[in-house]
Amino acid sequence: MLDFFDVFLVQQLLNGLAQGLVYALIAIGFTLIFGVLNVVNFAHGEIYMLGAFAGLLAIQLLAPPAFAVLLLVAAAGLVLGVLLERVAFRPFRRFNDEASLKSKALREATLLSSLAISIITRELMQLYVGADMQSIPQAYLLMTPIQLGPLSIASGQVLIFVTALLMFLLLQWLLFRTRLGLSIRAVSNNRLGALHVGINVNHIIIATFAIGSLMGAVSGIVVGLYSGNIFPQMGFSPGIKAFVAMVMGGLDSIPGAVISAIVLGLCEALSTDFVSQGWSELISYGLLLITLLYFPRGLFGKKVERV
Amino acid sequence: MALLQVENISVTLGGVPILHEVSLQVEAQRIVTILGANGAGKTTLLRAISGIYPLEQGSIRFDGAAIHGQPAHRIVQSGLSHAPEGRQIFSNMTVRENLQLGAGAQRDWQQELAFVHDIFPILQQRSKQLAGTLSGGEQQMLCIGRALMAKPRLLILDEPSLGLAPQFVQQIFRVIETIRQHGVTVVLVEQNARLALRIADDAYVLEHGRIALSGPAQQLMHDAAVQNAYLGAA
Ligand SMILES: Nc1ncnc2c1ncn2[C@@H]1O[C@H](COP(=O)(O)OP(=O)(O)OP(=O)(O)O)[C@@H](O)[C@H]1O
Ligand SMILES: [Mg+2]
Repeated sequence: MLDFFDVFLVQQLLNGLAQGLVYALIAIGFTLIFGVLNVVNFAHGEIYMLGAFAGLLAIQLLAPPAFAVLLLVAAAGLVLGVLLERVAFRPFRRFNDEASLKSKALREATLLSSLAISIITRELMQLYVGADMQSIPQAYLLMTPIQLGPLSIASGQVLIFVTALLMFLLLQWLLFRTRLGLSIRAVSNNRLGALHVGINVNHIIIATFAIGSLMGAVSGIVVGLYSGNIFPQMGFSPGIKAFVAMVMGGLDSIPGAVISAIVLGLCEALSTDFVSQGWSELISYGLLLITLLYFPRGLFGKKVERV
Repeated sequence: MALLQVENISVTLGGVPILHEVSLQVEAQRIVTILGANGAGKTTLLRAISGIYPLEQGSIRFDGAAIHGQPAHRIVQSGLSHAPEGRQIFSNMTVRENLQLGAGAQRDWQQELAFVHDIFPILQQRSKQLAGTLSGGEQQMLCIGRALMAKPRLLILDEPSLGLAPQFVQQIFRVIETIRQHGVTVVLVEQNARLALRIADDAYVLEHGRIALSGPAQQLMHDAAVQNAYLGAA
């Protein structure tokens, strides 16, 4: 039998894993979009938040079965992704010459426009629905405890685990087994090359935003129903953690980002044992700093150099 | 009528005018070379033809149909392939994936693959290797092979021998001959003007974004100005 301390520790690890998977859910879409544009999409956390609100709206208006909520949110995420690309990213993609493709100024402008969209969306939501947590009908909450011997996990944690696993596997299948995935990887690898072989680069970028945002939105509702916290700022902190995970993972590696996200979640959960709650937030920033200083290409970065 | 007809095109990049009223004709089944010093605007001209850079003015017709203003992917689909400067291969993807991407949306590309493997056997051996791990010469072969996968009627080659060892240069030029024998028209930009003029039927000289001279390659080879500027003759 596990003695008390061990049970406590294992329980902490389980909670950390669940938290890490929440970050991973966001980091997957984040990294996918970064790969294809080489620009950080700061509005990804807001897609996550809007996904949660879209789900809540569906619940309040239609009260559909939980599975239908997920489908509706997925559709909303798809649409939001296409819109986001159109408003925040497309305007900065008018030129195809090498100077523009490599332009730092253009990249920074794109990044700032996504940051602006993110802030505006958050503030508008706050004005419209208020900053408070929304109340979620009890029937939809995913907090039913499941007892595993001395350990206890919530039904929502199981759903998070299943969602993260499914998303990861589906994305790997898409990227490495389908024609669309081949084109997405080509655009990520060399946009000018993609233009030269006749890939419709705009379509591929739109599709990538749609897929990434779909994943972001679904993550939002899953986490919202598990944590019971749906509010306009909900995307901010996990969005930053997902960003840290992406950097730690080497920027363009989805498996790297997922592993880093789990490491982050575990570190945070364990740190609450040894340091006070407030400090656990610092963990991710500390890890980010260490990564940037000592592993500038990420913890797993060892890719072939671009020629 | 010529397979490719470029008429009076001007191109501006980043606010700088680069090409000024350039015209050129490429007859079917020929090899046409464009000579010019560094920065003359050769790459810009080729990219304008491929629809990657927009035109300020002028028109481009391919096989009778206007292609200017069309997106680059349409132009590739209509049978005009481009092996670009700097190769622009997909370095993180395998050789085979690079070639598959060259085939575009075609469902069946085994025949093209066999053709490319036939002229560049090394690409078959390196099939599963990441393209970024190939040698410079092999990457250039991959770049040309990838362009051939689209089954082009016209193939644009931008400096295919740049930085290659002499035996690779020889091989690339032999391949250009082979490609032409298969009925593909070739537009060639090449640093090695002597080799280019020897293989080409027609030639154009681009200077500061304008066509300065044009004519049969044989004739330009014996032109005093061309010899001075590009063939290193005294
Ligand atoms: N994005 C850009 N903005 C401004 N000027 C540019 C841009 N891209 C190219 N140029 C300029 O256009 C001119 C022509 O460039 P281009 O690459 O077409 O020359 P090139 O004849 O292919 O030269 P090389 O032999 O070196 O390849 C050069 O002077 C270059 O500096
Ligand atoms: Mg050039």
